[in-house]
Amino acid sequence: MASLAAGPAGDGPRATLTTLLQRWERRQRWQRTWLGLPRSLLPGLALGLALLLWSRLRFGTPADSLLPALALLAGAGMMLLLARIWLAPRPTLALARKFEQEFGLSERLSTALELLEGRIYGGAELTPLQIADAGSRARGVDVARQMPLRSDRRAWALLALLLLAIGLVTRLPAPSVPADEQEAQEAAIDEAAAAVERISEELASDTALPAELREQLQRELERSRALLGQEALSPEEAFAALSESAEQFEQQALALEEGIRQQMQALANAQQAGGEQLEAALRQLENAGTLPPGDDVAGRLEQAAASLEASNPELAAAIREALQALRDSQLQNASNAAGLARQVLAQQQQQLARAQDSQQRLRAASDQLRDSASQIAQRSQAQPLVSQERMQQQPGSGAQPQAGDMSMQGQPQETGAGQRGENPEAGSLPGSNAQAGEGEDAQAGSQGGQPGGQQTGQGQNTSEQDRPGLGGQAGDAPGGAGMEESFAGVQGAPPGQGNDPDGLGQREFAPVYAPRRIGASQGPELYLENDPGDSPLMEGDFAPNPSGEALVPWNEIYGDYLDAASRALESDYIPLGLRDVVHDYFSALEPGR
Amino acid sequence: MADELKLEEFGALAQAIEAEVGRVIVGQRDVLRSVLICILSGRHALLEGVPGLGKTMLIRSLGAALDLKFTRIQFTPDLMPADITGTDIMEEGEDGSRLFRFHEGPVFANLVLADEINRATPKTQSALLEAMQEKTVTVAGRSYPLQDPFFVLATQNPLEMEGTYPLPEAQLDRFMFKVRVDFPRPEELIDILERTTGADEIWPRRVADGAQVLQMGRLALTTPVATHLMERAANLILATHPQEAQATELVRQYVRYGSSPRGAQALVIGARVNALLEGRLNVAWEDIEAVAPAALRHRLLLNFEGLAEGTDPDDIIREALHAVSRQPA
Repeated sequence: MASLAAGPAGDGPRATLTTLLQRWERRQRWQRTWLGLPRSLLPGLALGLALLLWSRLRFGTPADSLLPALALLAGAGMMLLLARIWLAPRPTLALARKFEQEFGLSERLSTALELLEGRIYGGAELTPLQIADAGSRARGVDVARQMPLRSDRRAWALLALLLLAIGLVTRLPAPSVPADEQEAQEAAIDEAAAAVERISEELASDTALPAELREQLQRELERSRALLGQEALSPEEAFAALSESAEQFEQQALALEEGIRQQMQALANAQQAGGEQLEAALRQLENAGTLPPGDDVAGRLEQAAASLEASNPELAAAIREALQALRDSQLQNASNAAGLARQVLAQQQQQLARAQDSQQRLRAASDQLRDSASQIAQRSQAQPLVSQERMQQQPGSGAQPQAGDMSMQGQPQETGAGQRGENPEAGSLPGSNAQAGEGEDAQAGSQGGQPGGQQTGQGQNTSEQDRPGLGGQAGDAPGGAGMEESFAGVQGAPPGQGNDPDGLGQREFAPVYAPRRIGASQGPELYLENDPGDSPLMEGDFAPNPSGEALVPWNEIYGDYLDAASRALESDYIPLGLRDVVHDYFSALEPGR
Repeated sequence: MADELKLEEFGALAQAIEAEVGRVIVGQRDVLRSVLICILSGRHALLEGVPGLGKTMLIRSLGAALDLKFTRIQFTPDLMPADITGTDIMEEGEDGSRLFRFHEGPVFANLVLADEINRATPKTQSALLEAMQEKTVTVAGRSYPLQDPFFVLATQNPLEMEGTYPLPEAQLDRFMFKVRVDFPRPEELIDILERTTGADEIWPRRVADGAQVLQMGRLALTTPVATHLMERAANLILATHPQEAQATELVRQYVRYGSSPRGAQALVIGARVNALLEGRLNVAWEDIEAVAPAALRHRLLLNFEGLAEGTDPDDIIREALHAVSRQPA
């Protein structure tokens, strides 16, 4: 019997049984696949339908952009099913046990297989008979009858219904986007496209910019223009494109500014090293008719020319020429050469001035692009934005006359830090009211800023102010002024002025408003968690405080606010288009900045 | 061993035995099958049923059909062990010499019917222990082998408790099966009346002999059992023990001690024979299910609660079977 199990005589029946079992398994896998196919698609499609509905109704997202995701969800379910059915190998013996149970074969197959493998022993007479019996019984199984390819009609019907529903939803117009809102969005995108066009024209006429940089920026503008010209462009896409372009312009402006600063420094050095020395030498030559023998003017001029050789070869050449004329005591020639040097210096100063203008224009263009992006975001999310502004409004300040404005579009290089913009649209947004009197205080503080820092601060301030939603911050900032005033106070004014608590100036603190509700009045409440190790923030005597105001230094509570903002940014409370704004806002508020 | 029985002969003989005994015994096919399994397994059976159900007739018919030497011992309280095993009798020879000669008792037969075994005293009952287990009888220090085949088929009345001596667990365990003989169904009862109330007495014909019975038993015990069935049989036995993880709810509630390993042997051996009697060349789960009640019911020791509530061991076994059958293959 052992020989029967292990020898060649056993291979035939074993192969037969194994083949049969594998065939049955394949059949069963097909059966399960066919049965499970609609069920596997249902969850993905149901989820996809819900997503589709939500996106269409909430954002009016085009169906075409969601269909791949829907197909992916459905496909994932199907792949899961297929993997579960087809990628689960079973040992032959386990298969035998399974199928002999299903087909009522009364352990014939598993016994025969174990006999063939020599795992169990039977009588010499019974063993071959049993194996043969198992084989014949197995061959007699009508697999098609035992394992028919049944279909789950209910699941198929449900699947058909789901597909129908998806089809209907894809053909529905986006009902949640009202026509006027849609128009407003389209208008904002058109305005943005026009702004891009305008910037592009200005850029083309700006000869002061290096050609390579100009081309690069033109390409960026061209990309944005092409994108904005697309039909069915979502506000999010337009916002992203414009933000990207604005970022590019901002970066280039910064790079240019750095270059200008270095050139200005070099020019000042050159002026000091070459120009002044040259003038002195000329004066000596005029007075004495020759250079004094003991004086080392010639050496200093030589040294100045050598130092300018690398950074300003033209000026170095003019100085050397003048020096030669001086040595030859040729006053006229020396005077001519000195004039040439002065001319070179003047030309370079003019070039620098033009470069500064170009840099300012780049910055203005960046601000314009950001403003256009903000307009698009603002009009696409008008309701949440309004709610958010309300949320951020300081209690009691809503009735105050509007003083601040959120936009400084069009005049960033002319307005001082903290000055108010003139955009009536932004200013008219609900929640942008500010306390006029306190705003003026803040402005005064900002106007006392250092002149040297004015340009930089002014540019940053403008870009921040132009973002949507900031008008709603009125009253939040120290001094109770609008957001822009607070920015100006921080960025444009030195410490000690305005209401900067970590500076050396006033120690009167404005009420600090804690934003308890993120995402407007309909949104979930966000409670700032207390640090368990910290004692409550207390300073001075406090009266009962039902309105939630607290007179605490800004720098002490800034960390809590920043944490709350970070948590909100990580969650879905803040709309995508406003996350940068919130982030920048809290970054700008950082004490000591 | 030279003349091994062929499978076809086994089937034919089995059918003939059942048919021939069936001519005399109406119905009771399960009882006949269980007793036949015990005989083919070379082990003993305890038949339990009220008087008049044909227990004795069944065994006598089997003895006749199998051409086995049949003896019947009617157990009574005054029955002595020597009445079963036999005794040494002093005899006087022709030359006047005296010697003890062993006179075999009724246990020296192929098929011993121990009728109403629970009426005898434990001492007499235990006289059967050696015979049943060792198949030898020891009298006055001398052992006498019993004939082969040797089967004890005992009967007992479940109702009459007065004047009876319930078999101790050790002796119960020596019976492979405890077979319940139920009251016949109405149509069977009519058939019984028709057959037994006339002038003609039906008596089975001889269809096999002791040697063939032994050959049938040897063949039946070679029926292969798949490994997972062995595991299930073991799990079934473990499921009858209240302290085991596999124990069922009823077992935990009503059983004091579960089946012995001898119960597992009886289960598998009975299943092997049953499979072949069913014409199947391997043991299946249904064979184990078929023999489990008879093999295990007398091996479950009920606790006080079980006894007080009259719990039927068969219910416990059914639940255990159900639980084990649901275990993954």
